[in-house]
Amino acid sequence: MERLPSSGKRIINKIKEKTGNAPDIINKMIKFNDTTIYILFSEALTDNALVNEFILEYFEKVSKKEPNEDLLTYLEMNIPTHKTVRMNNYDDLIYSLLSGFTIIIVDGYDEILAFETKAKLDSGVLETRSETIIKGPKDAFTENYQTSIGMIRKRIKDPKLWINEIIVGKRGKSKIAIVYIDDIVDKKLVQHITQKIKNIDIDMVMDSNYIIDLISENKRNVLPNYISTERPDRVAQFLLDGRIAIITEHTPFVVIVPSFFIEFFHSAEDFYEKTLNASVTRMIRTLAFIITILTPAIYVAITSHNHEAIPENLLISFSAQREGVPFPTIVEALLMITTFEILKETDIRIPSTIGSALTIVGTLVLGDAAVIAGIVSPIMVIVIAITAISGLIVYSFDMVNGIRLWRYVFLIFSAIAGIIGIFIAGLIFLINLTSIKTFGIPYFAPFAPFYPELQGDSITLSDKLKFKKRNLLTAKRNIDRTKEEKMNE
Amino acid sequence: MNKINKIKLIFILMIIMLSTGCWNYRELNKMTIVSGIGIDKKDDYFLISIQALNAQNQPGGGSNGNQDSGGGGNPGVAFFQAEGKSIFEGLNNILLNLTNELYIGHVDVVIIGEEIAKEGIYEVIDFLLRDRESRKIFPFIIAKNAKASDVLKILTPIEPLPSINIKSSLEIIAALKGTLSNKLFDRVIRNLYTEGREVSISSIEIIGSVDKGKKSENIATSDPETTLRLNDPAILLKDKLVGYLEGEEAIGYNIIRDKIEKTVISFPCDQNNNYGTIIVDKTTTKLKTEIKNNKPVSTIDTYIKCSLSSFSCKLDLSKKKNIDKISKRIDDKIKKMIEKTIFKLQKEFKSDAIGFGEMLYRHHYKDWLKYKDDWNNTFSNMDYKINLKIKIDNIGAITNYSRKE
Repeated sequence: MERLPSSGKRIINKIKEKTGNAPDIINKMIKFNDTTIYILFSEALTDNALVNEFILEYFEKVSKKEPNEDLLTYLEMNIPTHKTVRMNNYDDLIYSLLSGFTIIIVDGYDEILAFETKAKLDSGVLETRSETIIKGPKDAFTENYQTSIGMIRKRIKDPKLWINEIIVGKRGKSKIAIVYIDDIVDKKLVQHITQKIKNIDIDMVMDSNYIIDLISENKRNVLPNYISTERPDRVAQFLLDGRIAIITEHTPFVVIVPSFFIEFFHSAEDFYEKTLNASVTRMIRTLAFIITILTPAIYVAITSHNHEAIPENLLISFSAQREGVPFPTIVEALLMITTFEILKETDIRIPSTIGSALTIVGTLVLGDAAVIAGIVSPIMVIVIAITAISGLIVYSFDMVNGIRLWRYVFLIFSAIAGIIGIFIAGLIFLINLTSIKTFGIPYFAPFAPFYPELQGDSITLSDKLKFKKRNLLTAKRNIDRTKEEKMNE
Repeated sequence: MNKINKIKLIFILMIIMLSTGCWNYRELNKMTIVSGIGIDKKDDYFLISIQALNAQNQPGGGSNGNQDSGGGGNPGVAFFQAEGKSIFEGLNNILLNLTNELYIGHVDVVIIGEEIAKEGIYEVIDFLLRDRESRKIFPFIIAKNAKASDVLKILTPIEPLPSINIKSSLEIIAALKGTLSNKLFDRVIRNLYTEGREVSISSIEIIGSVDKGKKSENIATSDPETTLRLNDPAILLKDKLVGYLEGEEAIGYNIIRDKIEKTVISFPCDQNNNYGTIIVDKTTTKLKTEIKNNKPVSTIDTYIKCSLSSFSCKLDLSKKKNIDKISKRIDDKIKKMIEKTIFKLQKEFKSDAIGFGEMLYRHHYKDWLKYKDDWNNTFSNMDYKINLKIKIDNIGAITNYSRKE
């Protein structure tokens, strides 16, 4: 690392050279008694009021005093800002400058001072938009790193809430925080993840997904093995369960590892309801998952292979509705599912002002016109509608898209071999599920391997796992929530 | 290399999918759903008739936007007929009239003509057992005094699909009236191959003329000219039809065979032609055949739980002695019914459709071997004993005579 020289002039020139004479970097020279002081900050990143009120104005007021100790220490102790860092090399200087610090260079010292004057460049704490709930806290993480950490800290006021901070990205230099509760978490996993994040060699990090994609062992599967959430209460719940949260600067999405398959069908809200009601809700979600992944496949199987599996009246009705449809059922199904996926994708991207037009076209095309035109049968519209509605019950976007691919797999197998095909696809799906590991822990737990004591927090929710116990797969110490173990180290 | 293999695999899967060579692949609208099969004999040939669903005329049919066009007075079924040296050949010949292949997996009813039933039904059974598409739980019925093809021609009101009509009324009659026997094919074959027991099969009658019944006018009126009526178990000897049990005989028959779910029995409650009616809620019958004095003797132990549903005699039913009195009368009546049934089976049909022989076969196998060869003759001269126990559970909301003096 290149050390700073003691001449302020030289430092300024070097910085100008390094940043290509950036227009947003302001360089101000002040005379303090006889000493020249250079003030350096980025106009874009700093809060001008802060710089004016606390730094420039300070020099104005006290400029004639003669300090007892050396000037740098004097300034460090007296300038009224909340965070001051003293540094002696270019790398730190530039990093601070580009993080919104104001740099004060005093001629004749080979150290400089950096004062935090960061402007708030994020959207502020807003209601969550991707995981809306009815009951419970509604605040969401923001793009601001410190705010995000703060939102967790204010929920868990425990000195054991520890944070490892790593800076990732050669150019982006984003802060990554690994947050965990020290006397619950599996420390080996923390070390493992910290090490892996440290080893990341990348240009920049735009979202928490970058980190997880680079450190996860689960690259070839479409099902996510991490929960990505913007709800601080959910993160706090998971931290107390011994999970590790990875907070990435500039994104409101916090990643929680390790996460299990069944947890994608859970919601933070489950804990704010009566446990029995929450259990029913969870069962409905699980049912919806089965429906969404199997309905089109079963429909195709029973209409084109296993006619004997339908009650007769239904067969007559299916047969009557299929009359005049020119395509095989599988083509019909693929057509409709793909149309729905396109519609869904468009709906996400489209500005809300044009959204209503899309709704009208979607309803007409999918619901009515296709049937009247005789391209699809009415029952197929129902099948796709059920599939689509059930498919959106999972709030996790990663999971929704993962399920989508498996739905196609089931569909194609059922078109080839009917119900037997569905069983084959189901087998492949189960093999896939059970072979995934989420940071060393079986992803499909607590079903396979089966943990009877964890069934209370899977398809159902029990008071025991809500209030008394932690998940023993992730929590390594203090598994009992109500007692505190003595640490014998 | 691995990647190329995967692409190949996907390619192959797509080809399999898009070609119609899929395993057992059959599109719903590319097949004719057969709801009823009728089997008759014509000279040396089998005459096979089918009742096929006319999907276009089903509710919700024809996905051309005109969704309420279904039904609407048009028959929901179509009738086809063909001859063949075997049943399957006949069925296959029907394809000459059709555009789609036949699907008999959901067949609702198989009817055999009386003529063929008299000659023997083994050939029919063979075909139905051998066929791998149909489930073996469809109703299997003999057309009484009629051809099976005629039965399938009749259009029925209320339920527009005649086969389903037959199937539903079969279930209702069995559940509430108890005059049918062996509703479904699987029961028929089980009985047919049981040792020491002859089989009985439900029968169906055409009331009215066939020519009028097959026109859609038959269902366009409130008083259909021609209807179908399920009734009367047909009794077979080996595989040949020998006759029908009629009316109360059928109920008696089902009481002995312990097949009553619910039935209604009227009995005379005094000497002046006044009648009472009971609903039988539960019957339990145990059959026993033993050898006494070198002769097989059967015992029928029946327990009947019933409730009184109408009563027109002048008796105060709040008194126990009167209850006992009518119990006695019910007892007599049911005993008479059973005796009549057994008499008919013994003397007229000489067919052990009750299963006295089966009881011997099950419990006294060595004795059975002695009688095995000539069992039906033994049966027709056999003694039996009836132990009847009646329990009147409920006499209704009024206890007394309802007519004002």
